[in-house]
Amino acid sequence: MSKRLFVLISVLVAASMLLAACGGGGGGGGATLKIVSSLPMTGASLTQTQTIVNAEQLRLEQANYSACGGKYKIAYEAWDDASAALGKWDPAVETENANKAAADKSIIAYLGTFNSGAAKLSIPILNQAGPLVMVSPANTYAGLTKDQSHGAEADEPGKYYPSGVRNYARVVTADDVQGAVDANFMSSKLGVKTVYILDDQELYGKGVADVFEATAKKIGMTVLGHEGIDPKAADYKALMTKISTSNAGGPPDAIFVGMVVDNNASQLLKDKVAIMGDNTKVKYMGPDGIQTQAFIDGAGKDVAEGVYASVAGLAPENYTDAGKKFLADYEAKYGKLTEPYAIYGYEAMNVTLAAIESVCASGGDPTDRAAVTKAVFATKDFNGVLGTWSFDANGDTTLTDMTVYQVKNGAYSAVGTFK
Amino acid sequence: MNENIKSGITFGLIGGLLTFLFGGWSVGVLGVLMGIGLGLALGPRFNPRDGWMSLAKQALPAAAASGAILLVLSLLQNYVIDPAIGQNFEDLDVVIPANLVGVVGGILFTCIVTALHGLSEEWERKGKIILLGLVILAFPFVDKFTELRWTAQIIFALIFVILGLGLNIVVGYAGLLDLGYAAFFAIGAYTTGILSSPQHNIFLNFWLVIWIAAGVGAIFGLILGAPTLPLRGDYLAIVTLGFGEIVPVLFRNLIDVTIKEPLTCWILPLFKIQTACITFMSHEDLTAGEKGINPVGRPILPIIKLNEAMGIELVIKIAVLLVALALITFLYIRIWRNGNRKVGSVASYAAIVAAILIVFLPIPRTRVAVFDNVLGIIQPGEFQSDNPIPWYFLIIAIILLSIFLINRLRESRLGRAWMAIREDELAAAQMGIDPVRTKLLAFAMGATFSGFAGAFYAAYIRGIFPSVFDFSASIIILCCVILGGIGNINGVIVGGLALMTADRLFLPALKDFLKGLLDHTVLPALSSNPTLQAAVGQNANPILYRFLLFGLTLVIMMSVRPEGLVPSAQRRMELHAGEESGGTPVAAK
Amino acid sequence: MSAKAKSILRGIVVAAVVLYIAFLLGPIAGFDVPAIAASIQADPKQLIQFLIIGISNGAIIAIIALGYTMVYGIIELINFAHGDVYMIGVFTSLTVLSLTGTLNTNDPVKIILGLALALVVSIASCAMLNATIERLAYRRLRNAPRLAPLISAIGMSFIIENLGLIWASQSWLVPSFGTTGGASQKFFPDLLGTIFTVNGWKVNLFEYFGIPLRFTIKDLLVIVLAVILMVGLYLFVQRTRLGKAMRATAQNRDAAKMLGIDIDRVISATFLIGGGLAGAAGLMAGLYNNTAWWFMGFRAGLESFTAAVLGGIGNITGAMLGGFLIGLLASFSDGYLNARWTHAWVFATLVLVLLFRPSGLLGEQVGQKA
Repeated sequence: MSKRLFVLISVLVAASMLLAACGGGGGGGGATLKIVSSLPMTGASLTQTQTIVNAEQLRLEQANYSACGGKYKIAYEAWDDASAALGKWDPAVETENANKAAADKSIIAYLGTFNSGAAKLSIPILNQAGPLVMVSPANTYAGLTKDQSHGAEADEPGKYYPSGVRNYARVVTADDVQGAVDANFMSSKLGVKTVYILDDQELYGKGVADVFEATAKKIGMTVLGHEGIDPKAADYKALMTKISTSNAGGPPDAIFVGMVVDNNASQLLKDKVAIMGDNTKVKYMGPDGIQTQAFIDGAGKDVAEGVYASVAGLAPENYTDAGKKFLADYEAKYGKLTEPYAIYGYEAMNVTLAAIESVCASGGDPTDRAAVTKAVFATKDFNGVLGTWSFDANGDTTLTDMTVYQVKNGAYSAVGTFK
Repeated sequence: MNENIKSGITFGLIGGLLTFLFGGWSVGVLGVLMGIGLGLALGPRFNPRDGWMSLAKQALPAAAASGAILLVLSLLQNYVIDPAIGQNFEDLDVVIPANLVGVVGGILFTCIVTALHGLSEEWERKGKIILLGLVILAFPFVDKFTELRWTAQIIFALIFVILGLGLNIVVGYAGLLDLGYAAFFAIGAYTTGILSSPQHNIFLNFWLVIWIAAGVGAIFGLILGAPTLPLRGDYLAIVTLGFGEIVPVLFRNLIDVTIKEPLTCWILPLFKIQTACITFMSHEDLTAGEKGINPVGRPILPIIKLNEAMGIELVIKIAVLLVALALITFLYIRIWRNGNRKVGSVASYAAIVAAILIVFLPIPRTRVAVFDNVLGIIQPGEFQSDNPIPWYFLIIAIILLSIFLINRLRESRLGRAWMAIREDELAAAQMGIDPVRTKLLAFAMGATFSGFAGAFYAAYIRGIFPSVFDFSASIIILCCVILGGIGNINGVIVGGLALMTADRLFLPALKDFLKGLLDHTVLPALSSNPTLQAAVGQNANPILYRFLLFGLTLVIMMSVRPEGLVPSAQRRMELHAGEESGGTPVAAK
Repeated sequence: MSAKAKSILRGIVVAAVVLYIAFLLGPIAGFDVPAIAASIQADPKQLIQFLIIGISNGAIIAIIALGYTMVYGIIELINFAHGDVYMIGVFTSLTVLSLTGTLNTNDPVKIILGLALALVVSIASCAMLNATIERLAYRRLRNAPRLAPLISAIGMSFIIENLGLIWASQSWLVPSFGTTGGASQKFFPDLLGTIFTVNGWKVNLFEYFGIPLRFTIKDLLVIVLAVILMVGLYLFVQRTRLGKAMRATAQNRDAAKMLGIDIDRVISATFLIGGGLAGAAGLMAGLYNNTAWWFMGFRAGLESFTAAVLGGIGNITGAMLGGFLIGLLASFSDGYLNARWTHAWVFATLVLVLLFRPSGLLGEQVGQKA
């Protein structure tokens, strides 16, 4: 019995050597540069993150997965920073993703994260790994790049960059710009005098809402209240009833919500409309977290009619040719684009590839992380899908255009672009 | 075909199928692990009187079968599976040695472990412990060499093992169902976060904080345990659930705290007595809310981290440490001879405290080149997040300490009181056990270990966010305990490892595997039918089924082993009381 | 001083201390007495409005809680998957309404017929689902350690949530799901409102009486349905043969077996009824909150289980009472305290109630169970 098995095993081992000898010799064709993204691809965020990944892959396909005139192959992996146990981004998984990226020398760019909290953990890790450049398509928390004068904590952003070199850039506009533009828009364009602010208690939603509150007070609006909601509650009728009499017995002129669609945003709007009527009398506005078709689908066309939402960048009809082409290409491949972050995903990949090319062009080595990081930060007057823009020294985009959209006939359409 | 060969094939199949998911060097590691598993399974089936040589020979056919299956599947993975899921062909300098190590190592270890059974009982036990120790010791280095990156996931699983061990005291020993145990995890983590971060500009040493976290955990165990005392059964469970829900809300919301003295601020003015309003706290941010506390301080090993200027201090520290160690040894020997254990333990604890104190002496923040990288693997000084090995050994140390403490607790008067309360509270009270005190201590002791886990977690992740500690965390910890075998330390360890590696390692790899298969094989095959292709592409995407896979894991594990993976001996006897011979032979030989 | 006076005095002192601490630390969590008093004074009728909202919300929680309490009463299992069965109820009704074309019609008769069909299908399919879960995941664990089925239940809960997630992306079933994937919330049209507006009736019933408060047809419906279901269930359990068998099984399974009761059948029936109730609650919640979401079962399950315990587990009236109480608490906390603390207040109240009534509000205050 055992003898026969031994013979079998020896035959198998021999066969494996033979096969291996034949199978070898593959590969070759230049070194591979790896780009990874780290986004929560589980549960509620998947709708948005999937479009980001799609857009990033689209950009790579257009570059034929190669760089520097075919000298380098580019590999891409979409990592998940969520765990099933938590159902959303998990600090432990994000940390491990960052460590994994730091250890894999072929990785030269880390496109992420989706949640600003996650960025707080991975920036310092990647900062000490080369530094490995991070380009985020979605983080808007101001303190990641900006100092106290923009509403960050005292020790921010220094504590994220232990090596002293910046390695984190983002193609989205930070909260401090958005909240301020929203407040100015409400006051000057909508004539709002009194406003009630709600947020979903998360880093992003609360960040925008806080800046909005500060700006609103500065420009003379009356802030009737600012509350965090419980994003898992079944309904908010009692809260809305309270708000409906918060303005000396009547409803406020407007409600500003700092939140993302996953945190029960549609339900909040439904209850607001049920108690205070449609969105012409009591205006309703939020940041790009609710500028998605999912929000309108969830709330119902009639209920969502008239809601305002602001998004960084230009309106699609004012897109650059590159932007329009992106939209057409995306929709040809993946179907109608209804999520706001896909274009940022595309731009993040775009600017990373451009940085690699520029490293090659200047005779540098694109496998050198520090060189790529430097090249990303050197991005000036970049002709991307979002327009022509640069990264400033902090790694923030110089684009401060905010486009305000309004729901008309069940879809968002642009109202105007503001600074 | 006999039973042994069948077991061999089963283990080979498990190992081989897992290589489908992980690829690369995994076949080597899995081969050895499966070999050890197979050896453990085979050992008891043979007659130990045959002698160890004979046992090793008897195990050979099964081992060979396992190795053969493993090799076939591994080659299948290299030549068929990898192309099908869009992976590049792996380097031959990985494939050949990995397969060799897997097959040869697997067979070797099967024989060795089986042979252990042929030794005397004491040597068998020692042999197994040594083997286990070797595996634990070697694991992170092997993992680093093979670039599998499992260590970080294992560390995370081990955090849940500690939490499970703590919860096991409450649920397993004292029989009090706790559905909000993550609250104590949160309290441990937040204690650490607040005491060693810029949040309040307090930077205490991790080695101190971890004990404070455990202490604070214990205090909150008492505080939160007290209201549950009059309750029984699931009413108690629901109150613990309540605390589990309240605590994260507290940590999330204590960001704008204002405390005003009510008498002076509004009660007296109500009666037209005007007083100055006393304010204790005004708009203080205590916990940073959803922003999270970050960065949390990390452990530092000062003995290694010194510079030239600190030479004298180094000498002092090493001297004190040596004296302390000598004292401990001396005292233990004395006491062992004289039999006066009480004095001995007090003295040795004092010596340990002295040794710990050395660690708190001020530490220079600069690095020394000479000591900067021992063996190219272990960096001295501050633990870094990019090097999991020191963390791994730290958590192993915490677990060993926990196991030691819990074993002592269980065998103590208190431990027996817990079990008496669990079996019959009324009878226990009649026997003179104070149920109030016993239950409170169960909560406090349970919370102590979550304090350890929380402190480690906060330092390891470097940041804490309130959403980590909600109901799902409590549930996962409970799952670890019940899945492994309630009331049994080994069971809890196995349960925690099994569940967390399923969530962190197995399921993500399975997801990637299925996704690769879908994208590179299934979808191209369907290209003739675009609608079907679109529908399959949209709905068969394994990313969408993560919760389902996790849920299935729980349901299947539970229905296969309702008493847990490694049930406690007592429970096993209860369950199989009526049967002639249980399904799994009990430790008797 | 007599002993009685002493104990009264001690009670007063303790109460004063507790009150003082509540006044001192309460404002952190929104319990700011002067502010609350001011807002009640400013608009006293809002108090009643919050009451109405609380009761309507509580009604839905109560019905789900009935399913929990029945299952718990009979096999002492916290059926974690129950909340998710309710979520499936919402999706089932929405799908039935879509397939029958009810979503696109304004004809009141068609809508009512569609709703009736949706109710029947939702109840039937949730009942079947719940019984299937019992069959697959719990039955074989009946003699296992007490906590084993709990883990199975948690596993089932994950599985059903995932099914909901997939379901919500099937826009060929319900076109209004859109193309944005299953994770986002889906709209459950306000069909009752449609019936009323088409006929020119006022959605807010109080407008007919000139009362300046909101009490819509939806509020009325959920409250009436909840009471009907509760009374029906109570009568069923008290009067029918099967109901008696259930009570017998709950009291002592072995004895019931000896008396010739088919335990498996009784347990299956319990799960069927519990699932049916969840299905009914699903349709009601869909109509009331106009939302279908794969994750809605999690919080609903947690709150209704809490309600069941609050009322005294195994007690049908208690579950109802607990449900209403939780609804009211949440509504008043949202209204007068602070929305972000509501969840904590609900559970803090639960702890307080159980401190004084360790077996829930209406639970039998029994001694040690042997």
